[in-house]
Amino acid sequence: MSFIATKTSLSRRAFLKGTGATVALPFLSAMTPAFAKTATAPKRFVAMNAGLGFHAPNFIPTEAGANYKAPVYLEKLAAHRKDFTVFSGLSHPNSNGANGHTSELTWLTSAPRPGLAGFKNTISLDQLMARHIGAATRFPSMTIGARGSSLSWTANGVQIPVQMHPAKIFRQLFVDGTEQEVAEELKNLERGRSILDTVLDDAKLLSISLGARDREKLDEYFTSVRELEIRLQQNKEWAKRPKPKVDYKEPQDVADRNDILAKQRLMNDLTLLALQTDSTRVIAYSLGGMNAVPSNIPGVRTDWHMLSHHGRDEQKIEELTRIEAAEFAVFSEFLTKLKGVKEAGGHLLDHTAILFGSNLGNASSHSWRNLPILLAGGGYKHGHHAAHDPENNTPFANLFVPLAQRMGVEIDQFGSSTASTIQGLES
Amino acid sequence: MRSAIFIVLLTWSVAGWAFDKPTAAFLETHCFDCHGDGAAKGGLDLEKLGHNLTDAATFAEWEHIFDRVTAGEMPPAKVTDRPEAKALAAFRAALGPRLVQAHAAAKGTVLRRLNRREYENTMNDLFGTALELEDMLPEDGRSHEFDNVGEALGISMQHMQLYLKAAGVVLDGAIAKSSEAPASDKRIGRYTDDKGAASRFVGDQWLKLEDDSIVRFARTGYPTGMIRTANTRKEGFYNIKVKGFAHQSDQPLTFSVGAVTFKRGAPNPVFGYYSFPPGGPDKLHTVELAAFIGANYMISVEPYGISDPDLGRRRKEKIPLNTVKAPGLGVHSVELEGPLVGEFPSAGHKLLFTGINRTEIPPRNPNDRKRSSYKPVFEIKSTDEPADAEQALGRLATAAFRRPVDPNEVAPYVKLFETERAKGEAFEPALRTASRAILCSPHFLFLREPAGALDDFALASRLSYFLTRTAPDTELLALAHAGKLRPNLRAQTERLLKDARFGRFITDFTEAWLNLREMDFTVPDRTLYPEYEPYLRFSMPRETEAFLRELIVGNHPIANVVKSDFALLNDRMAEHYGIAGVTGSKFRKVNLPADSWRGGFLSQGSVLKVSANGSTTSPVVRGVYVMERILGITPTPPPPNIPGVEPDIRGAATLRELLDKHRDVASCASCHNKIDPLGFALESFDVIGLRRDRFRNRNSESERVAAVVRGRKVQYRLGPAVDSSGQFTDGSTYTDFAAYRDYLATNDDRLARALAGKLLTFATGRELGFSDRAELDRIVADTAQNKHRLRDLFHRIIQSEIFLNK
Repeated sequence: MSFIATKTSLSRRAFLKGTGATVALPFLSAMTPAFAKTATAPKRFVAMNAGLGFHAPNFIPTEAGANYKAPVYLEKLAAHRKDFTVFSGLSHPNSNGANGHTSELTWLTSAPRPGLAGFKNTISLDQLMARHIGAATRFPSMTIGARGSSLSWTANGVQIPVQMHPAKIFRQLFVDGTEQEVAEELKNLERGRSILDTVLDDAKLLSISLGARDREKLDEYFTSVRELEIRLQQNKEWAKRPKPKVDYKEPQDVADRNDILAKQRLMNDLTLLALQTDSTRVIAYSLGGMNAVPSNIPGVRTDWHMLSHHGRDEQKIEELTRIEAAEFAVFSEFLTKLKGVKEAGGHLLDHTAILFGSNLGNASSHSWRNLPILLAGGGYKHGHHAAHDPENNTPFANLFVPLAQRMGVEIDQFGSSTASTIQGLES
Repeated sequence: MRSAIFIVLLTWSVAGWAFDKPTAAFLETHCFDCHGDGAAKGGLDLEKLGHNLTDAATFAEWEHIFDRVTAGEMPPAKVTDRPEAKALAAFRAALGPRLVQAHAAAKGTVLRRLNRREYENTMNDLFGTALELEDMLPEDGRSHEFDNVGEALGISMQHMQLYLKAAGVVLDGAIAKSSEAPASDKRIGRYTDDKGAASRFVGDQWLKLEDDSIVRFARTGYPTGMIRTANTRKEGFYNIKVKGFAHQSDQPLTFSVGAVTFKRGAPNPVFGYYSFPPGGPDKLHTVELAAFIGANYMISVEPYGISDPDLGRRRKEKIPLNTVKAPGLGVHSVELEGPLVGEFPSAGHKLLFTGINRTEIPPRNPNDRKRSSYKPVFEIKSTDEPADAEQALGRLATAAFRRPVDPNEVAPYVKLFETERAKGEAFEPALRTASRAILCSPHFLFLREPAGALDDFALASRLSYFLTRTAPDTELLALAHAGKLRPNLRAQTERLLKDARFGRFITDFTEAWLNLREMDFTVPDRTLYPEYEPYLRFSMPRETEAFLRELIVGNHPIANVVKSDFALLNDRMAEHYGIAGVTGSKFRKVNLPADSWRGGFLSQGSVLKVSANGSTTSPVVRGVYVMERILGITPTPPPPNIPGVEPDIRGAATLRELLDKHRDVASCASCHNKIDPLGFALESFDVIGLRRDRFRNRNSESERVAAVVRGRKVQYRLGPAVDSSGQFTDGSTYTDFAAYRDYLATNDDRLARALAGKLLTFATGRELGFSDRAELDRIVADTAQNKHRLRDLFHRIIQSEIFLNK
């Protein structure tokens, strides 16, 4: 079915199996010109990181190649075995950081020595892609998460705040303001631009009196203001167009803060809707972790962060496995839903590369080596375990280069990458 | 100067990797066996290091080389061919000045953006608002433990977008929405107001006294301590007065005051813990507090530390409640007043509208004003708009930029106002837009410090952001204006140390220096540490804050950082430490028994908690903590490709035993011999700061324990014994924590130097470095004669070259 099909031929109630949620295709009026012209579905990218790690023996198969025996977590993805590749033996080199969890800061950037003296983060993979896509979608990218940590970093090393509230995200994506609100929003964007013009002039005057290093800092300010000016202009264009309509009940935030699975499910639904309506093509999603007992997972009664520091205690590993297996089950539902959305040339998963894994190879010792990583969808040939050397890891960023290229970003190097291809990635 | 040029030229005649002949000669002779000719022990290959000292990592490596060689740690002790004193001196003389010069050229606080907490303080103080702005802004970058270092504070499009938004929020909060001060609501709530609840619980769990006071004998999940009629309608600051008493008790009883709501997923905050002395209906006590409360919350009062184990038996045997002889918490009433309106109109409103005729447009129907939905509309009548706008924007810019502002500097903002007017905006929206611009200007967002000696206004800002974490107040600005700040620096420091806002320094500095911002990074395992509960969590950082404040205000010697004969305790911390005779929730100075291991930061619960994870402690992690934060030495990170040691709590091997293997490797030993002895002694304290002789675990083969914590039998078992002995690099040994901290306390120069360095980093917003060493030496020398007392140290660092210059 072609995405550019006429309104009457659009199946407006594409029912997603096993979810109960119905998702309809957007009205044509809300589609982007770029999208409409090409008549093929755009390429999308989603990154999902588990900040508390995944227990590696349950994730990484013992055997390499296509005939691996699926460990506990991958069993949860059995229905999708041909739709993902497991990578082992990858890590960002030199990721010793200020504390055990600082490798999370650089999961999508690969900058060395996170949090230590002289550390400055670099652009994250999702933001590099977003920069390339620019105004083609209403949101160049979305940075979402279950808690405050964000995977996305700007080119000058500033963390992009994470959006944690599904209800708010949904409203931004799909709920139009009243005519009066839209008019006020446009006016506000206009005011914002006038303000930026003014402060830019003022900053130029200030710049003259500064020394070289201060001026470098002020240059960051200039860049920020100019980028925001462009963004506000783009936002203005988008604000004039109605938002896509979806057949999905406006969600409320999950009331139980510890119900991590309900939260993950809801964020996944929003991810799917945002991609399907081409509201954005790039999403960085921090799956989170917390210092509390996740609710509604039978057999789990211990604080999650604590369990990740299991210290080889069998009982803790058992409980941890229950949590993480449940996360995989929800991830599996998500893949099923993506496959259920048909688009030009296949389904949504064919057009969405999903990088799923963790910045910790062993959370119990805070090891950032041998990361558990899998890549799903995106039109690649899948179904195998690409085993890299556990003693001498392959730079994880070697995988970032082809992922960026797939999105049309013309690079042959990213961060600490040493090659522009990676063994095990087959198209 | 000529010789300097000569050296620079020489650089190029020496093999590309070294700076000059003396350095090269020394390194080739003494270091190349392991760090040259292709060898790269510990990850260091001198030939590949390069000498671009403007690169932070390269500089750090050279500084490290300098320090290890001059300290005699390199070449390592096992090398018998030691460098001669002359060769060492030549090396020092060649490399030292080079590092000083490179560092001095690059130092100076970089144009420093207000971090998000400083931004919030500054906005609220300027505008008289009480808004939570910190969480609106992206997390700030950190340099080591500090999040106010200019170099690490980036700015992005996202920041600008949020600054635009936050400025709007602040103006909304500050500009008056009514002609008269809005009346605040006052209501008194009692448990007995809720007839349904009263009929269910009186006589069962609630003891009703003659004046309708309700006594509760335990904190229970149902009924909770909420009082339905002490409730809020609107969000805002409220004054809360709780009247009550300790019933049937000769000791004060502690309770928490918080707020609860039925709203889905909303947090139920606890505002604090307080105590009532013994009393009764004839002798009521009052606890008063102010708190920010959301709309539709009810005040909740919960007793702490009392229990009612006989409830089940009483019910079964129908024994009346008034036969209970145990202590109970009596609550007479809760008075709730708010939302509080501080100054009306607010300071921010006055900044904008003083001298401007802003009046309410009368509604067509005057009765509309009586409706609760009525929103007044204002208009501004001005005969000379540009002049009025210039006045207003000039006032705002002067306040926001923290210095006098030239009319030329206000002109672009006045022009923005006029452009907006020309577009058809009304006066007030146009003025708001121009005001938001001022609040997004780099003059507001950045602390600007011209090169060299700070001018009086820059100095006023530095002092103010250091001690009160906000923009300079009128007194500081007046002194700066008169050019009299420098001669009055000491008096102003004294004034600010006594200012209520100094509490912000205490909180922010302990969060950074001692890492208390990570109190909730892990939650202790409930099975292993059943003693951990909300009141303990609440009290831990407050003890540390109270202790630091006492060290400064009481001008105590620096040795108290690691060893003092007093502690600042409330009932909960005293219980935690096993110290008798401390009742009530207030922190007070308590003299410690001579054999107590408490006293000093290192044995405080908060410090021991943040330096552990929720279930295990690591002598390495704690050793690094002490080394960095207390001794001011940054350990080098482990070389790449060294795997961490995975803790094993199954009970067989202690982490120390696992680490011993690690330490046997020579490349690990060089650092771990320094780090680990600083952590071994702290093994005597568990993850919540309790003293221990044996490790707790959950291994069914370990020894059972008969202890009971808060009415429940403990589930943990006792495993291997703790080994808290160690040997420092100078050969001196200790057998326990007491001897360890005696050792640390004797080296008070080191402690003073470390704390002075931390304070100066926090104060100036830059990392100190090689070229600051001489001034730090002078600070330490000057304060030595009087034992480096803390208030003296504050004065000395504020008068230091480092503080007074960019």
